Amino acid sequence: MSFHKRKLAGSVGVPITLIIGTVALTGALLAAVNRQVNPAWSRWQDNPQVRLITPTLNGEAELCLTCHNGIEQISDSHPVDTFGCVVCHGGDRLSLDQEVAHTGLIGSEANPGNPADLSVVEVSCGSADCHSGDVANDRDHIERVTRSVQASYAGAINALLDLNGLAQEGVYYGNLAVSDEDVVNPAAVEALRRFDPESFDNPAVTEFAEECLTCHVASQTVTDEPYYHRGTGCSSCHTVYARNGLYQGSDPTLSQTETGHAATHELTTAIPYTTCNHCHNRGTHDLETLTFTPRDDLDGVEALSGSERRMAELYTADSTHYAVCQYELDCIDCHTANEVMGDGDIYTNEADARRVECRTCHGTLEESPATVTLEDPNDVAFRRARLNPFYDVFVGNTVLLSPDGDAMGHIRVENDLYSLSSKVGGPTYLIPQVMGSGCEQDVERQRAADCQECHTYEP
Amino acid sequence: MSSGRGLPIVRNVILMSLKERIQAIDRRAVLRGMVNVIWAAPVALGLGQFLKFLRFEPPTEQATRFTLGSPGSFTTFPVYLESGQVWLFQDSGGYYAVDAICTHLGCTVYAQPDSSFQCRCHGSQFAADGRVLVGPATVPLRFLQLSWDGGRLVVDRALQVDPSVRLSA
Repeated sequence: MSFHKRKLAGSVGVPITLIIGTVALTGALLAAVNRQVNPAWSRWQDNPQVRLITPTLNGEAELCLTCHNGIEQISDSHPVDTFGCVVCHGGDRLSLDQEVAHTGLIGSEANPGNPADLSVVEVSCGSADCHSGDVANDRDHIERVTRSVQASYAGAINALLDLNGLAQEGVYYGNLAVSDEDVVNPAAVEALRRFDPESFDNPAVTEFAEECLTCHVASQTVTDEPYYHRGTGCSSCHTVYARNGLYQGSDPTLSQTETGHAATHELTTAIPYTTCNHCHNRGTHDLETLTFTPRDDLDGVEALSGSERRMAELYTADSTHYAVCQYELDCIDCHTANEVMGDGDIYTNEADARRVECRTCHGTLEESPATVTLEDPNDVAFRRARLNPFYDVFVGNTVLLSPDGDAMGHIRVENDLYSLSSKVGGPTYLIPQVMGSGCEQDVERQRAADCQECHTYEP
Repeated sequence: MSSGRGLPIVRNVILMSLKERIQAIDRRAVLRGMVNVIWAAPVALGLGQFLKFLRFEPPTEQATRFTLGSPGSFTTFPVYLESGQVWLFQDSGGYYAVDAICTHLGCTVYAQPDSSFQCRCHGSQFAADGRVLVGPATVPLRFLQLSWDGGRLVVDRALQVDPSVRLSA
């Protein structure tokens, strides 16, 4: 064969290297043409075309939607033609090569696609003019969240140190080091030191760090089991994950068979109980023995519906002593944003951060619930209502007031009737009032367990 | 003439008949020519693209003037015109255009029945004259200069005018 080649080449006086080089060059040219005609990104579209948008926010063109063709708009407050993708996600805005385009993505190490992780949130959700805004205007959400017990995990950490004789007077630890120069609530503290398990040189602390230090919004979930899938940072709560953890949206680049993505690329303030349920009520944990016992009573839950299903998913099977509101409503129908996201103060346990009691909505034998008539169109209650698709509130409406002075716009008062509109799309409920009823409550006993003595779930 | 080395050859070639020329081309020359074409074509193509790249000049400024269309083509006022990202109004004084881009973060504002404006992204509200009624926006909406181009309205997004300015019909 080689002899034949040499003979042929020799017969026309053309060096064999020139022929090989010419063939290689032609091959490269054809490959380049093919790449141009059928670029890698074209597989994400039926009718391949470069999709360029120029967000009005910064006027800088980007090509991300060429591949992420069909991805859900993150929210009505963040229209893609206004914000684009890069302002939140980072990356190379003009590259159509996957690797180059994703260079510099804003995300955690475990999940580069989640810019809401607390490790990077200051340059995404919390960047200038965004959610690290003015404290006076109640817009400094990032600071609130990083100080909250959901991020600090201060309750468990300080209880652990106390149980093991490691607590120091006036010194508190949290998952993140935070401080507050303007403490408002007497139950709050000025600072949390960053909890560094190694600095304690204690086996219980070490075990706690290995086994338990994942139950906060700054950490990635550690199991691929159903129910546990969730985001981190802001997206812990504001994105909805399917129970099986699979993406169900329309972005062709996101796998629908591998876990690791929210159900859709959408943010919501209508946070369903199922989102809270990814962390809460997953089992029982014991700080003394450092054990966690996962629930084993969820088989068959999928077959249930309505209240039965909510009851089964929310509470363990032997806990049938809950009042109607505790399983008919969603968690955020009672627990306010200040409680859940933090109110700007730093607390060392969840109980100090809690605000709402039974009497907040039901009143007592002696007092009706506190209310407020909304007159300032700049009141945060209007903003919250606008961000939620399931209820509305208008200037002049009288609404319930939380114990810390937060207007609860979804609970309206008209003609002495208190009605709650579900924030998550459920029905509207008329809230029974204690005053004038036959209730025999002790006014000072307002914990849920107190009222459950009479008001319990009847299967 | 006689001193030129190449000239007799040129003369010979010119004087050769077509048949003679074809006969003069041997197989080796054809193959050599084909090989030359094969490598020269992509090189020339690449060189051309390279020169095109070197001569590329990015646009130095964005367009600010946008043709909105003939007023007769608009069935109602106010009307949102995406081409210029403005709300076009008509009153007894004539036409005027209000920037539809919210001064907060750039979302589209929507004209209300009372000619005020609302941003659905973050809830900012603006009066009919562009003043901020409800935040988070702090800067009024802009009124933009309109002009005629033939029978068509043109807006210049770079030129802000007083809210009282009207373009006569």
